[in-house]
Amino acid sequence: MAGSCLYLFRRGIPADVKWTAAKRLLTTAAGRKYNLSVFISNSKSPHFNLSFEDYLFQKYPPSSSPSSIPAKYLLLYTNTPCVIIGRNQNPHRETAVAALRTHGIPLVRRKSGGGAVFHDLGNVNYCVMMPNGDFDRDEHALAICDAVARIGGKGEEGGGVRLEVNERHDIVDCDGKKVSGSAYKLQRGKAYHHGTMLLNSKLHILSEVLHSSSEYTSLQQVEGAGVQSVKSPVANVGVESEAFVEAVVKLFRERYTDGGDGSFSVRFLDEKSLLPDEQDEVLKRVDELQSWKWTFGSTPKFTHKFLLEKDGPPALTFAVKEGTILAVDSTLPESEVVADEMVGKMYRAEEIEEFVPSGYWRDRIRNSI
Amino acid sequence: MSATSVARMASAAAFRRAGVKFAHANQSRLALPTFIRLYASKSFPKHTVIDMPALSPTMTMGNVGTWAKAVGDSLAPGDVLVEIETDKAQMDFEFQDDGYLAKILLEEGAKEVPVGKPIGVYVTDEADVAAFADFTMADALTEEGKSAPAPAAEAPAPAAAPSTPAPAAAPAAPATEESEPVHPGRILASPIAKMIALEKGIPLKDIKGSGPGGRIIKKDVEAYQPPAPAASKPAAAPAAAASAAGTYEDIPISSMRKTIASRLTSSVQTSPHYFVSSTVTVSKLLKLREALNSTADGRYRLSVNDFLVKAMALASLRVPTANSAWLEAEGVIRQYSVVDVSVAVSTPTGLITPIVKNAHAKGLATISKEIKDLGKRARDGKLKPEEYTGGTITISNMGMNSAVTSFTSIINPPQSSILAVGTTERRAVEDADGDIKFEDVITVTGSFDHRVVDGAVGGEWIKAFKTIIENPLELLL
Repeated sequence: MAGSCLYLFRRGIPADVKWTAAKRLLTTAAGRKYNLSVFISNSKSPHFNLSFEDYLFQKYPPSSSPSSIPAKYLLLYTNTPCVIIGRNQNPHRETAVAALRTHGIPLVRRKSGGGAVFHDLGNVNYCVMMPNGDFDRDEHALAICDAVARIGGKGEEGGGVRLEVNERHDIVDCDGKKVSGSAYKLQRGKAYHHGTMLLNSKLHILSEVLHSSSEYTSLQQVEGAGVQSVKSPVANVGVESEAFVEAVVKLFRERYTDGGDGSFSVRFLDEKSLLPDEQDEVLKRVDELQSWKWTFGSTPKFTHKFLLEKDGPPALTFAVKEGTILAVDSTLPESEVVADEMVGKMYRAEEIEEFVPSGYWRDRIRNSI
Repeated sequence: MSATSVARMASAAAFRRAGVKFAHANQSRLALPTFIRLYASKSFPKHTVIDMPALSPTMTMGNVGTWAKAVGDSLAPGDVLVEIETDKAQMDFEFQDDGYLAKILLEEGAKEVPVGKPIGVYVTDEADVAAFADFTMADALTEEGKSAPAPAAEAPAPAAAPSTPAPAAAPAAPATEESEPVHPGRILASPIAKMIALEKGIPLKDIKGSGPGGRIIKKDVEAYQPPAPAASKPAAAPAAAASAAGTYEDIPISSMRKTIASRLTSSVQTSPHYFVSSTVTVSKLLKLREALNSTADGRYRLSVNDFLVKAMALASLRVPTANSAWLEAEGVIRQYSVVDVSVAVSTPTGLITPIVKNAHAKGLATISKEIKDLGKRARDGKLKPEEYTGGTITISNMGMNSAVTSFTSIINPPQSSILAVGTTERRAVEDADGDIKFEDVITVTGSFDHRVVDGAVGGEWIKAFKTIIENPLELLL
């Protein structure tokens, strides 16, 4: 601790590095010990993993008396390629929805806040569940930085990759490129911090799905109340997933448990190894996550404008709330688009196609929503 | 700064953190210009404005997410009202009261709403919901501007200095046709009565109401004869100057405030107060509480306060000198053999101390029920005089306020002791093996009247109290 204090006063150290050192001094839960339960999922299904995470959070015991040892859960999972958006985001704004469908990349809306991320097999996700009183946005991000620093090196300060936490609570590498994004959920008595970790991800695909600009996307405008992602340049950490998982679990065990009986446990799980009542709960959540109503129907109110030419006036404007079309504004003739019939319908291509005689517009709508 | 005002500010801050403020349409704590404002604005039934809450200590603003409740839905404590997102964190705003959602002021999607800004309105009566169809954000903001001394307090959030409330003192108070409304400080009047009073320039607080619940109705105002010398607070001229644009606001001194003022001043001036503090370990107590609550099955729900009240009662039996009254007029010190504990409760109109009689003989579950019931009725202003006059010893618990580690209280005459309880802290202590472990402690400060209780005796009482708390099984003795 004293060493890190002096660190702040040394010259020639970049500001963001000093910021991380300062944060280490200030995190609230420093020094507390827990009963750590580690869960490692062998499933690669994004719906299963997110559902299990939600179920685990429901099962996490909220802090009761201030004197008993609280529990801390650490869940680690990897998904096949998918795009995950935050609870209050607008998928049309964050990603090219139809393009994802064409490529077979599922779009999933998670329960925590924040922005849109891309997962694939080169990305390991972590989730730390803690009592509400110990909630801190930086504590576990810093722990992960320390864990990565040890991979391939000798001891705490040695050899591995050096990562820092920036003021947006993201983990960045020494070039300032983002390697991890975080999101949080707080409830009465408990909270979780989960995040991604780009180890060996296919960054070109990430760029394609999250920041794409096809011919159609430049002819669209989405305006609405949803949370907007903050785009950052990204990079891979470059370590193997297994080495990462091992290092994180080891560090968490050393830092957060006092080594007593019952203070540490690991469980490996997947779809088949769940107990029957766990299965019911998780399946319930899988159904919810896969439903159109949750994924698209819970987008905050927005308007979606389709233009005929770049920077031109909108030819077709949809006002959508809770997945239902509230109003349609159309400058197109009825032979192309029968706007009035669409009001009150769900904002899905299958539902409104029949009111679009024009082949061009049908194509556009199918490729946009 | 007196203990009372500290307590009121603290409880007001606690209330603001919970995101709720009070707004009574018929409130008349302010002087004449307020009547003008009330008259000119729309009149809504009794309601409470819900503000954007601070859901984490560092939160300054949030985005409004999905409303889990619609207008007209009933609300119960623990229900999720609306989702809030801030800085990538998704949070549920859980409602803590009973009522019905009357109006949503900020819809889903509202961004960067600062903590404290109104987001909705709730009422206690389902029938009132329809009246809020036209309630706007401007109405909510105007109301919050008006209620200058934030009057509200949380559930049983007792404050520092106790006092018996206005109704006891009022009959003794001099003079005029001063009406004694059921809720001292808050005057009930029908809209037409208010209009007429305004036109005639009659302060409502001088009128005795003959309607239901002491409500002032039209004929009361018409029949009112202003008594010449006993003028009410000079409301008109100076208050007119102290309007919204002024640098101060004149709040007329209500009878409850007068009572609190006179009793506490005389208490401090006549009884020689001295204070004894102790840091008490409550780990075992908390464990016992948890154990008992886990098998409660809905029969009871014990709070730390219940244990403290019982422990005080038993300590007072062991050191009865502290459980005495100085009765100079009768030339005696009355040493009680029963313990009636006055529990300080903060209400919207001021401090009140309902009494748990025979606390030494009652079980924890009974004490718990009684305190909850008394507290509720105290806040509704429905206590009977015998429920708040008397008592042999008082407890004042600010444990709810996490900033208050310890404080001192003013003795409630004619009693000779009062215990001020601070919040729970975690301390590192050395245990039997020389290792360090963490304990939960609270700091209690007893104020004693040296005319009755000598220093060493006060210390003995505190020691008895500490022994009982730290060895909770002593409660069985």
